[in-house]
Amino acid sequence: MYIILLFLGFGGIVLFEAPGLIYQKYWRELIFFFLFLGLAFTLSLLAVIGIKLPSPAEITEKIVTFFLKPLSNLF
Amino acid sequence: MHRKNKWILLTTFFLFFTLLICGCWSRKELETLAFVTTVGIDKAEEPGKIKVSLQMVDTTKIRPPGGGGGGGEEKPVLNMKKTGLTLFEAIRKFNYESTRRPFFPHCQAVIYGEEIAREGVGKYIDFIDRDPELRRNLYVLVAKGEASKILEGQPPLEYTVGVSINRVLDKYSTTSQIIPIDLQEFIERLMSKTTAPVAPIVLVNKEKNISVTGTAVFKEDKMVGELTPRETRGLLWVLNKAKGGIIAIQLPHANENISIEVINSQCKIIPEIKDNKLKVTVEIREEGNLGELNSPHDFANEKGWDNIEKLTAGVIHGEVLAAFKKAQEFNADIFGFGEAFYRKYPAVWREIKDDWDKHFANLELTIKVESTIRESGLVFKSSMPR
Amino acid sequence: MKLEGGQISTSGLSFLLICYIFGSTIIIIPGREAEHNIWLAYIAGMTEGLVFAFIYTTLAQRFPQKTLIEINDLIYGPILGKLISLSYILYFLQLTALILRDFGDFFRGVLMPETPLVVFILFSALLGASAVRNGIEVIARCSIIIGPLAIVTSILVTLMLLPQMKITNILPIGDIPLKDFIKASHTVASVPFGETIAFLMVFAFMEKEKVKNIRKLTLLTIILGSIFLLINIFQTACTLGKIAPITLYPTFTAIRLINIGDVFTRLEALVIFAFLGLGFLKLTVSYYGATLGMAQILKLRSYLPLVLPLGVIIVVTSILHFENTIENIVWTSDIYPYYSIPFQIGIPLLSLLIAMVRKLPKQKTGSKQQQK
Repeated sequence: MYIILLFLGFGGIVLFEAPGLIYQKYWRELIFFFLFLGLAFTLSLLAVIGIKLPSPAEITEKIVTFFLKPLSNLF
Repeated sequence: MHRKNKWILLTTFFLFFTLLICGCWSRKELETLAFVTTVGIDKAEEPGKIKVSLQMVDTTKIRPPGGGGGGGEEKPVLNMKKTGLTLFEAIRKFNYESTRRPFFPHCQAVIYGEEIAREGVGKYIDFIDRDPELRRNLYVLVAKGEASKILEGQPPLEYTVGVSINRVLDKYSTTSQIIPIDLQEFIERLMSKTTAPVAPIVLVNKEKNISVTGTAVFKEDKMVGELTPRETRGLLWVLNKAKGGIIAIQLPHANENISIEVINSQCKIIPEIKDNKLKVTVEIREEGNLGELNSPHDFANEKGWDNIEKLTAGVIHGEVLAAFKKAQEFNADIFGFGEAFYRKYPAVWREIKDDWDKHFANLELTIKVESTIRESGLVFKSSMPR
Repeated sequence: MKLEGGQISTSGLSFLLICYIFGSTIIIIPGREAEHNIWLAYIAGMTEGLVFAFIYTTLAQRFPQKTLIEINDLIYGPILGKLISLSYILYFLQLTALILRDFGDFFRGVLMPETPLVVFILFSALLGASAVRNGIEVIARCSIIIGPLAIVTSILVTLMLLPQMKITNILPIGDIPLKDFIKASHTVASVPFGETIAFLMVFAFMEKEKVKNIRKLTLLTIILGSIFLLINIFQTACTLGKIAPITLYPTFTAIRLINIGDVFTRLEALVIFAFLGLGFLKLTVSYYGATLGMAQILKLRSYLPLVLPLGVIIVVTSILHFENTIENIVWTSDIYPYYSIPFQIGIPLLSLLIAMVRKLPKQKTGSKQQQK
């Protein structure tokens, strides 16, 4: 059910931006537009389906605690 | 061409979103809500569970005071009771019977039954603290007996018990013998490691009216005792909250007495550490008017006036002392002396805070009262026959 | 490469900065470890923040009318510079996601618990996207309206809370272990102040004549904004006392206590409007920084097509970050101050030092000349 909304949303975005870009012949921009949109679409599709994606917060937490452990021993 | 398409697309988008944007997910329609004005929490018959009573107002049945007054009028309030393990669970159970969802933003008071107060209110306060619907400035009280009985009281001038309690507590300074404690203050005291929570006591009197009198004293979250109205005022003098009230003084001669109307008072708490002993000086400054003079003697001179002021100061002194003695008896620091020491001697505090009970029991209190009587109404000598 | 044709006025920049600092701090007050000494932590954090701002504005004045991306290119060379710029873009994207998340958490937790989080985030992001598409000049102009409103609201609220404030809640002063204090003040420095690094994407669009004033203007504005913020912090600490460290949204909780003559009650709506406006501006600035930056790295002719796709990525990241509100609070106070160090201090300081050593920017004539 949400997937339909997702497709509608992304379709809307494409309809909104693409004609302008094509008309202005901004090919480079168009490529990157679809690149990022593809990335966004993949991410949101995965999220909607329910596949667990790694959380940036968790990643940063691991990095920070890795660095902080030796330092906290100093205090 | 593109411009026009873009506009059509945009308009459709926005129209679509406007439908969603009005917050209809969390909409609350007025007719589906039961406005809760009072919450009562008691021990249930089953061990470990609590009985929650809610007083809810049916807003469609409230009639203006002019029309329909007198007996036979339908009271627009509904009292219901439910039991549960936790407060939240019990509250949701009301939805089995009540056609409307209990709605809490207008809740004026939370009343704990005496039994459950003595066992400890700690488990039944987090919900009130945490839930966004309940407001921080609702009043917290302890019922004499069961809280659910309080909800069945019928205050003659107000619609609901909650409103009646609210208004009575708002006017506390007319006597200064009850202490208005809102959720904010109760929780602050609960969280403090030294200050003891207090709450006013409410009961239903013979005429089925709601009466607030006296104060319940807690140690941590368990109720350990009561303060009489006189002792409550003693507490209020120290807390800087006695901004009104009547001091009735019995003169040495029989049949003679004076009423002093308190206008204002200030109190300074001065903690001191001398010779390793903890001392607190409480300096009270009171301003009042002569309200009633039932004595043929002439007080309208300097000596007489001083006399009245001394007598008043004496009464205040007595009240504060009584409150302090009671507090020491319960070993509950209701005055906040612990916090006063913390503010002034933070370094020392870290060492003594764990033994505060011991220190409070040995605390030396000095009470200094200065009373000033200003006005005397319309008459300066009593009309009593000499 | 004129990606952005707009120009910002001095008042635009000032108000934008003030709104940015006020931004999400007014709702979720960082630095709560300091308990009743939180106002001291704020003064310390603000001073640290001023140091950051000094570095940023010096860079901005040294490289007039160049955004962070362009500056990185000049200092670190084309390849390393682009790498660093890319990491900044990711940082800005994350920043926007976090602001959106704060938004959503607040509204969902307090006002509409049944509504899914994504609804709030989506709509706020949409609003932000529309603002970003209109360009920085429009955003700055918005802040000229929203800024004074928010400041007036916060002062009004403080005045109305005066009866409830107990100055004794502030005492004793300075009773806090040094380690906690440093952590609290650094948290304060990184959350509102360090994030002004995003303004290095904005300074480039000041009117050319005003470039020399950027540093003075920014520092003064930050001091002014911090004073208002401090008033707010004072008010919260005095009103809530012990409860302040355990509440999630101290300003909101404090405002619920306002009761003047029984008429002025239930004024939470004021805080909500203020937060809406300020948060919107904050997220727009970082959103703009991310989009413009990405467009500059990829050497596109317009950043517009990137706005919506990046927006979706931001929305998804926003939801991905945390499972619940508590994780948000804990992460922001424990991990974020350290994680942001390289972005807020490390690299800018390094950039400035390198620029000074290499005497950048070089003059157009090509020969190395002394830079004033």
